[in-house]
Order: sequence, then structure tokens, then C-alpha cells
Amino acid sequence: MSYLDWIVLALTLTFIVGYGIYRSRENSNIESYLLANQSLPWYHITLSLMATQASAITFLSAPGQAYTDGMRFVQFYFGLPLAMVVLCITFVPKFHNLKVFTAYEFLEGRFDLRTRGLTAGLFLLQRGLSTGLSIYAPSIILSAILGWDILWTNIISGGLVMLYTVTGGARAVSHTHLQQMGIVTLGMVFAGVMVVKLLPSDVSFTDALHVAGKMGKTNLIDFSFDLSNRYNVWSGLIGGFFLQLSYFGTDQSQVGRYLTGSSIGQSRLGLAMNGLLKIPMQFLILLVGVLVFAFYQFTTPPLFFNQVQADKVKSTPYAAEYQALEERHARIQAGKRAHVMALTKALDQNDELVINEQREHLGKVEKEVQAVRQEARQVLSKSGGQDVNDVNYIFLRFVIDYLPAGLVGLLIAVILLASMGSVAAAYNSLASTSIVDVYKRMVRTDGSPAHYVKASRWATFGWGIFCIFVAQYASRLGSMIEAVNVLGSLFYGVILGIFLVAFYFKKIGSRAVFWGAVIGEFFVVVSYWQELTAFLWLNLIGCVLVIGFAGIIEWIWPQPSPKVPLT
Amino acid sequence: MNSPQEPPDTDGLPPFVRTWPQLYGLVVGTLVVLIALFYAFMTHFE
Repeated sequence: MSYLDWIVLALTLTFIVGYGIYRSRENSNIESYLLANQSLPWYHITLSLMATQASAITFLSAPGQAYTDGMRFVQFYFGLPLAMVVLCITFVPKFHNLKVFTAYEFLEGRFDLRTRGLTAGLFLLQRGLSTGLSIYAPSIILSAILGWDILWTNIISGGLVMLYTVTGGARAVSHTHLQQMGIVTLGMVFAGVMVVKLLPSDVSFTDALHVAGKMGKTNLIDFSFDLSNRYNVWSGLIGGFFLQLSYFGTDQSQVGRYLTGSSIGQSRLGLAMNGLLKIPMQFLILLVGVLVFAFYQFTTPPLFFNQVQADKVKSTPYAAEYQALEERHARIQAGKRAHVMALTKALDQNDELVINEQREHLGKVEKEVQAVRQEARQVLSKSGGQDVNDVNYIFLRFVIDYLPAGLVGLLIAVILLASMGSVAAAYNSLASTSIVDVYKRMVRTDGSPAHYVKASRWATFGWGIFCIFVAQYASRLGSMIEAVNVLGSLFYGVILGIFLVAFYFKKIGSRAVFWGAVIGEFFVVVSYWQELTAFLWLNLIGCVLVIGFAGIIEWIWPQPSPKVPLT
Repeated sequence: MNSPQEPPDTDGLPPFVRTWPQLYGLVVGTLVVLIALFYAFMTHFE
């Protein structure tokens, strides 16, 4: 990185951390620290929800995923707007009217302390681990590409954010989210514009999309119903709906964001706007990845995008084998370019015959490219390389190799800020659940407001250290955006099932829902372990199992007097 | 006996809709339009 990049990076990070600390004043009680005194307007909520969900993984993995797999990942988010509507109608009024600090607090009123504790425990386990992955994801990539020690990248990603989250709580988190989303959007727009500018002068934006489209990268919609297919319209609408409903309705890192709304209306509008904006935002991120793919049809891409791994193999006995693959790859790419240029020309002349002919050629060449890349991965693996999946490196490799000085620093800041945004919300939610659902409820029930604020600060600090520790020891996980979503899917369906029983099945009591949840979680883990279905469906399965088992248990073993719901 | 009518729940509503169900309809409608646009985008460039 150039001096200019370092200056841009340092100034951006200093601004965000400084602003967060500046916003950290006036936290005299737990309402202020954990809920920002429920005083924030809808646009704070929308941007905070988006910043919490869009971690660094979103900006690293998604363009890489579009490069390798096309844009079909966008279908994953189709259930989100539907989930926002259900949340606005059901969850928001219930949580607001009860003036809860956490989603799990509601469950004690409806069921019992044991169910509240089980759900809070599942959340702490899942969120603690996945926050570690959220820190690890950008760290491993930045450390590999920039040559930084991973300990330092973990400390920057997970530690800097502690400076204002520990002191400022929910208010600092929300205010910094606004700034972070502004900078992140600006950075991605610049990156998209730069990719188009870097295309050959006779290749336009639409030409690039046509080239990528002819090679199968604009595969946004798949209407086929296939349970083993990760991304199609139905898995997105149905599985995605349950995942998003569970994530936004029962994961405290998101519930905590809209509980800061100044009224039910402000929280609802914040969620509804998230439902309107999220899919277009994800589409644009994937579009950047497709444009990077198009760019590399005119410029030879590296055989393997993780340069550090590729360099390592060159000092092993497999160096000659790898070099031969690099030469073969370069030859294929050179041959491909002639077909791509012919395709572009045919597109300009609207010559359908040549277009179809070139598309067929390119399909064959692309298969050869994939075969060489697969062989390269095998060589890297044989040589002791541990990270043989380069999906997460594609976008950043492009940024470092081709973007001008200053913009590289800005894009690295974008990735770190995205990480900080989601990690800050996670720390805040882990602290609020630990303090409100565990410490204040079960350990020390008679503390003063100042004591609980102090305890919340310590909890935030403690979870920060835990998450950095998880990040430091996280193993390689393929596409990390998927790893985080898989981890969420293992728990979210069951947690959602508990909440849906609470809201809609008033005759089911605490004993039935508790054991229904335990059995449901067992089956979800077995389904994942045995690879019975694609992970998105686990959300639906977990939810249905909890409701089903709870209903059966209540029917066989009825509880004499289930607790009366609070509302 | 007439019970007093509750005021309409309009707090937070943006000016382009009158009720919350209208806003929810807009969110779902936008999803349908986006799926249609994505389909058109895909078929056009493929």
C-alpha cells in the first residue's frame, strides 16, 4: 500500500472511532447504555440494521461469489422483505409495549425462566462464535494480502470497536453505523465505477454485462424447486423468510437495533425501509463482482487469487508443477480473449449466429479454466497449503492490483468499517443478553443503575476479548459468508419456533416448548451432520419441529395452568 | 353505548402512504417487482 492509502485508512478509522467515543457520553443508566433511551428515528434504525447485517464478509465474499458462481446468491435475501412485514405487525408492538431490553425477556413472561435461559444461551453461543468468524473473515484476508500479522488484523477488526462500544453502548453503535454505511456505500460505488473505467476503451458497461451474462454470471433467478439447491427463488422466499424472521426477530444484535426506536412507528418504518433497500444493495455488491469477472475476461487473472499461498508453493518441490499450470492457464486465457473480443463485436453488430457460436466456445474455455484452477488447488493442497479456496480473495486482489492509490486505502477501510459495524452491534447484544437475561435476573437482582452500566461495560469488554480469541483460532471455512449463515441456520429456526409458539400458540405451556426446543435442536444438528438438506431449509425445519414437538408434548402431557401471556 | 374510537395508528408513517398495511403492501409489491426486473435482467444479458 502507498503512503496515501495508509493516510486514507488511518484517517477513516480514526474518524469513526473518535466519533464513536464522542457519542459515548451520558450513559447513566442501563436504558441509556443498552437502548439509547429509546430515542432514535427510523433512518438510524434502517442504517443500523443494514450495517449490523452487512459485515466485512458481505463485501469480501459476495463479489467473489458473483465472480465464481454468478449472481444467484441474491435470491438468499428474497424472504427478507416478507420477514420485515411480519416483524412490523407482530414482534415490534409486543417488544415495545412490554418495554423489554432483550427479546428473551419476553419469553419469561410467556413461559418461564428456564425457556428464557435456554433461548438466551443458544443466542450467546451462536452469536459469540459467529462474531469471532466476523472478525476472522477480514483479518485472514487482509493479513494474507497485505502481509500483516493476523493477531494485529484481529485486534484492529475486533479491538478498535471496543473503544467506543464499551464506553458508548447502543447510542455510539447506532451513530457510528450511520457514518460507516455512508463511507461503505461511497467506497463500493467508487469501486464499481473504477471497474468499468478499467475495461478496454471499446467495451462498454453493457458489453461487460453481456459478456458476463453469456458466461452464466447473471443467473439472478432460478424458479426450479430443488431442496438440494442452495439458492433458488423458493429456498430464498421460504427458507430465507424463516432465516431472516429468526435473525431480525430473535437475534438480539438486530432486536437491540430496533428497540432503540423512539416509538413503535419509528421502529416499524426502520424495518420496512430495510425491507425495501436490502435486496437492491446486495444486487449492487454482486454486480461489482460480475464486473470484476468481466474485467478479467480482457485481462489475464491470476491462476489463484491468494497470492501468499501461490508464492509459498513456489518454494516447495511442487514449484515446477504449479508453474506449468500457470503457463497453461495463461495460454487458455490468451486464447479466450480472442473469443471474448469476437463476442463483443458480434454483440455490437447484433449477430445472433456469431454470439451463440462464441458463447459455446467460451463455455468450453471456461470449463478448461475451472479444470486448471482445480488442479492448482490440488497442487496447493499437496504442498501443504491450508487455504485452497480463493473466493474471498478475488475482490481484494483486484483492488490491490488495479485500483489507484488512495482508493485502495478507502476500500480496505470499507472492509474494516463493515466488520466494525456488525461486530459493534454483536458486542452490544452479547452484553445486553448477558446482563439483562443472566446477571441482572439470576446473579445480582438488587444492583443500582450505575452498577448495571458498569457491569454492561465489563460484559462488552469480556465478549470482545472472547470474540477476538475465537477469531484468532478460527479455521479455514471456504466461503465465510456461507459459514456464518450455516452457523446461524443451526440455531435460528429453533429460536424462532420458540417465539412463534409464544405469539401464536397460546395453549402450549413452558414445559412443552422447552422440550420441543431441545428435541428440535437435536434433529437440526443431525440433519446438518447427515447433509439431509441445503442449510437454508434448516431454519424452516427447526421452526416447524419446535412447534410440532411442543404441540405433541402438550397434547400428551398437558400442563395444568400455562402462564397467561403478558399481552 | 358507543365506545370512543381509537385514533388511527399513523405515527411514523411516511407521507406517500396512509396506513401501515399500505406500507407493507408497498414492501411486498417492491419484492415482486424486483424479482420480475431481475428475471428480465437475466434473460436480457444471458
